[in-house]
Amino acid sequence: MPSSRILATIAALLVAGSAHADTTATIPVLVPLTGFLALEGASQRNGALLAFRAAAASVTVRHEVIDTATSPEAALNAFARARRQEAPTAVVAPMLGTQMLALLPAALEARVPLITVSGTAEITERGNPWVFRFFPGDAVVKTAQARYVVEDLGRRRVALVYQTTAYGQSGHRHLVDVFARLGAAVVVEEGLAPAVKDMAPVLTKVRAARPDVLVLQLHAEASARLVRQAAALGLGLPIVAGSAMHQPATVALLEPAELAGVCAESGASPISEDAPAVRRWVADYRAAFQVEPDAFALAQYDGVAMVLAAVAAGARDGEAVRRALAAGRYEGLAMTYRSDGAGNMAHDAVIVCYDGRDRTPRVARRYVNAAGTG
Amino acid sequence: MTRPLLWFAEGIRLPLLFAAGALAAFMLPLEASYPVRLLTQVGVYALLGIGYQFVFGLAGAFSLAQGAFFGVGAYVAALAALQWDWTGELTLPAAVLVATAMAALAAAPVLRLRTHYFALATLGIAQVLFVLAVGWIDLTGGANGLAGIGELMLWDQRLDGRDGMVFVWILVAVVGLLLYQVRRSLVGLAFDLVRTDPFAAIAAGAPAARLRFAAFLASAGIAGLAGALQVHSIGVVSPEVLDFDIMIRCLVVVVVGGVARTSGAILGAFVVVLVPEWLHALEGYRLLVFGAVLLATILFAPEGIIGTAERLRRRWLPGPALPRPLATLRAPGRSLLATTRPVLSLERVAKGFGGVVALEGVTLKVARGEIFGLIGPNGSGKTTLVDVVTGMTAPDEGRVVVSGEDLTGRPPSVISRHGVARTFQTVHLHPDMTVLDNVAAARLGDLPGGPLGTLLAIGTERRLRRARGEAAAILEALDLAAVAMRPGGTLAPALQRRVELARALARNPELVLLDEPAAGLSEPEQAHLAERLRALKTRGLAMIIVDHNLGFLLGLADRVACLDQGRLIAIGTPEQVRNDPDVVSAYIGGGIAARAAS
Amino acid sequence: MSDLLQLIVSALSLGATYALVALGFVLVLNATNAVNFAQGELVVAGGFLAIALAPLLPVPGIVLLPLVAVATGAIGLLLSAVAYFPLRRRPPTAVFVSTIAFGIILQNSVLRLAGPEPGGAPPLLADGAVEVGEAVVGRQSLAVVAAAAILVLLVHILIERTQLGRRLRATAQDPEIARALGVPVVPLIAVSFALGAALAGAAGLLVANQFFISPGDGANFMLKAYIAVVVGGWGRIGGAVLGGLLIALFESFVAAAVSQLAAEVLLYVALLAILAFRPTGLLGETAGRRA
Repeated sequence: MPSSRILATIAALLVAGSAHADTTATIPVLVPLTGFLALEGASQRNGALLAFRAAAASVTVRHEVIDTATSPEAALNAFARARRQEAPTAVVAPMLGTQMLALLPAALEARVPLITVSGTAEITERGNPWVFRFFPGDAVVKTAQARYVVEDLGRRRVALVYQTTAYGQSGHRHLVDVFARLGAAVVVEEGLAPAVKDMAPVLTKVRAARPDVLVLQLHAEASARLVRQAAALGLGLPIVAGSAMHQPATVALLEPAELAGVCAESGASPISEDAPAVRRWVADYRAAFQVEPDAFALAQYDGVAMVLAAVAAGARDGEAVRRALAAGRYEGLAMTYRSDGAGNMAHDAVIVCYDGRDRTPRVARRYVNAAGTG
Repeated sequence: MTRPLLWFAEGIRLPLLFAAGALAAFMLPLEASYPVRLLTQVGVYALLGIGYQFVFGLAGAFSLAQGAFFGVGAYVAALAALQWDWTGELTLPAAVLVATAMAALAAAPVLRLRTHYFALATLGIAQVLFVLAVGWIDLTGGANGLAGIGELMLWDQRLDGRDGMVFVWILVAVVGLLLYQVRRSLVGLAFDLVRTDPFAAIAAGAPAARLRFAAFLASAGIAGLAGALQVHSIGVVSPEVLDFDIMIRCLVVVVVGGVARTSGAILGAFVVVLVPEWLHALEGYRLLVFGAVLLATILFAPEGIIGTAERLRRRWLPGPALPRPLATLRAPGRSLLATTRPVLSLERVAKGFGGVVALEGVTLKVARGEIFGLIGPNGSGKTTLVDVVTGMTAPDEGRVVVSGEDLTGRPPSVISRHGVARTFQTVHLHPDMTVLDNVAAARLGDLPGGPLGTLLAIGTERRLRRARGEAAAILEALDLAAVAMRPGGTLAPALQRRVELARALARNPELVLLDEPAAGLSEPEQAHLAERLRALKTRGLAMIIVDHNLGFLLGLADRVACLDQGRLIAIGTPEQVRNDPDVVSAYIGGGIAARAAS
Repeated sequence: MSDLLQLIVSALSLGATYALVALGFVLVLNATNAVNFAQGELVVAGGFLAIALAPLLPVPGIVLLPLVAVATGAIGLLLSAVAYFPLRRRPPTAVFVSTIAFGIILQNSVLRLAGPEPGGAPPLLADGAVEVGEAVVGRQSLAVVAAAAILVLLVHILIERTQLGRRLRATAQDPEIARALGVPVVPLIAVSFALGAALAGAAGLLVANQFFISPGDGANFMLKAYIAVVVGGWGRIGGAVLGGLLIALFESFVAAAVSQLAAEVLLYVALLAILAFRPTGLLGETAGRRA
């Protein structure tokens, strides 16, 4: 049973962190482990735990993993719980945008940096100096996604299907803006609730508008469902999807043939990379958690690793870590991270594409500083 | 010294205890953010639960919209705070008002629905609101919601952290006191009937529709208040507040804590907030254990923690004594001046069910002080006639005139207020309520003092004391004093019938319709009953008695009518009807005559 | 034209699973007059059972179907034993709550055992598509509709043609009278729960190929079944099936013609309208009471 193995791994990691050390860092991990973001939350947790294990020998990491489920209130409870004994050095914060919005004032009051991979635009737009986003925000990845559609595929008539969740609506807003800037027309758009099972109606609607590309901003399951039904109904359009599409769990639902001609944006694609450091990381991750890593896990790993590097370099409390993150530059596994002044650390994006032969995508395009934010 | 102590013990002790607990928490050096956060959350859920106690606990309506009204309150407070910079003294009332108004709008089509339909309809309303919150991005911010809502401010006084928690708990105490008062009042008794046995409620003349409406509105308003407090405490609002998850938590609060009780909601709120926190060590198994706790509670402590505690207390401690009888009931028959106007007049009444004729062209009059017998074979329409007169079934044709007033098609509560009471063929008593309270509940409509009196009353409500005194007098007159403090369900069937008669008399009626009052009674019991009924007749009460036992009926009635297949085939003195050839043949081969003669 | 055909076939294949769920819902409802809120979670359990069995038994879905139905039927028996029978003398709301609790337990068990990843079950017979005129129609869609139709037919035969069915109908009409006539009511109620759960489990297998399934999907199936039962007429077996199909077609056509949001809102508005204009008030039963 995978869950018990994961528990065992977590226990092993806990023990591993306690060897001889000069410095102690307290980094609670607040991530959604139940509810509709359980999959992404598990990636966040795994990435953070792997980073703890890789910490410099001089740093001891104290942490607990707390489930934030899906409500802002649960996130705040978890945050208060995490603070109850000693002041955290930094907090691994949930990737759900609404939870992050609730945590911002609490972090400001507690003077603790939040290390997250949430893509929701707004969290770094509120002038809060305590939030650090290690996954490229919508401003970055949506720009990359739209530029790939227009510049590389040469498509101008866009059908846009998005999920009516924080992830989907935030991405939708950015996509519409970027497409307008690039001179492409969104000829049809449709918002889908996560519970929508049958994709035939939206495909019918899309086909009637005669677009030349289908752009998705859907969660994992819906992305897979739409790709499968589009293939079954012979839609015949290139599909450029959001980051959920690149998650191995999404791809596992589909036959390789159904994936032919499907591309997706992401901050990175660990399983596609050839760099030895990333390959080693992927192997470690598989060994520890028996699942395939996605970009969220890698980004969370890089974020926590940057915090631990700061701690090893002498940052002892939240304020010191915040200063180090705000001013520093860090060569992570996925990319180079530096703050744009608002807490956006990641500015690069990739477009990965599937060739229809297997489930491992290849990187079709890299965008360094895609939105000009870094 | 003992009197004030007793007053306290009998009256408002539990809410006061909890208010005291909140004050103690205020005194305690609770500076750490974690306990303050959790206790605030407990208070918010306690409010939500107390609100739900009105509609679910008191009225017994399984509303699945309570979470939605919570969300409505949250969004209203958030929008008002962000758009117009309103602070707590305005956002909280606005949230209550909007939630209550939405409930009032929804009530018209929804509230008359039966259990599962009502549940589904309220669920439908909640779903529509959820979809709107997600889809109406310009107003609600969509799935991202709205952020940056300030902490609670009341007239420029900032209530954050611990102060906010204390304020939430003060509101819990106030709203909890309201529920506590209602539950312990005469209105509370009426709610008990409405919830457990709608027929008993009708017989007691309880205005079921009005009570349910009031409870639904109160629930929604309190949920709105809780939602507004939630928004000020966490600073953001998103469609999650409208999610079914909140509704489930609300249900858990009420069911685990104890249905219909303030203390139950408070205890349940502690369980729903703190247990998952304690179970953090279980990580992913947390919700699983949570579901198991809920299931175990409903199985082994179906009345919740508080309900079970009260049951144990009742078992171990003696119950209260029978109150002193208060003979303030008027004599039956309101118009003391004798009139020739009939108490009841039916004119060509007809009723069909599908293709079956239940009543056809029935015309009859019943005079003051008259005992009117109604006989007929099974299925001849006797109970339908009683239902038509008492308003439980509207006739298709014809008129029902009570004391000169046309009440055709009016609801049972209206007809009941015009002095018509009834008993049932199968007994409808509240099985867990004492005999005394079963009867006292029927006094609700006749006593002065309204809902405001109920809410402001301190200790046991005056109206309830008076109703119990009057009920005691009636029970004494019917030789039921010995069983008055026993639960209605524990009595022998014959005694239960007599309690139903007592309840009908407690309505202070001019006309009583008795459906099979002698069924299951022994000969001496029948004689005793006949004697009582004759005594009531001499005081001017009119009666319609439906019975199979013709020996009993023909000896008692002034006039008798015989129904056959919905038609009156004979009407006259007992002697005339007994010898009527149509009546004899209706009973197939003279069975009626044979039985009547024996 | 081909669009229309594809739309209808796809909607029918989803509607067929709604119909099975609703049918199971009604069977329990008729036997007990209780609403089984765990019905949606049983669909999820069935779907994930199929996903778990698939690597162990490399056979087509149609062979797994009876296995999954039997297994979820057993869960249904368990449901009746722990969440219905102990509470059958209590007000109906007690069973509402107990089945909700059972649903929470079931959902989180699935989450623990299978993990948060969505899953896809093997196809009933084979993947691929057939061409009908110009339209390309998925084999799986047609197979799902056919399988659901066979299951509905089997239930119909069971109810109308067998001794068991006669007893089920008698119990549905009046449990007291049925008991007086010597019908063993308790085993019949247990059978109804098992049958209802088996249908839900079968629906889970059918839906989990084309449409996938996640541990959180239960609430949506529950809601659709509940609405289908109301649309089709409370307690009517044929009505539930029809209601399930109608809902799916309604959603599909409104979504294709207007938008998914409109489809969702209009479905609930239509539901509220049906409830408002065809209410069965608190005293609806009195219609049957005669002297």
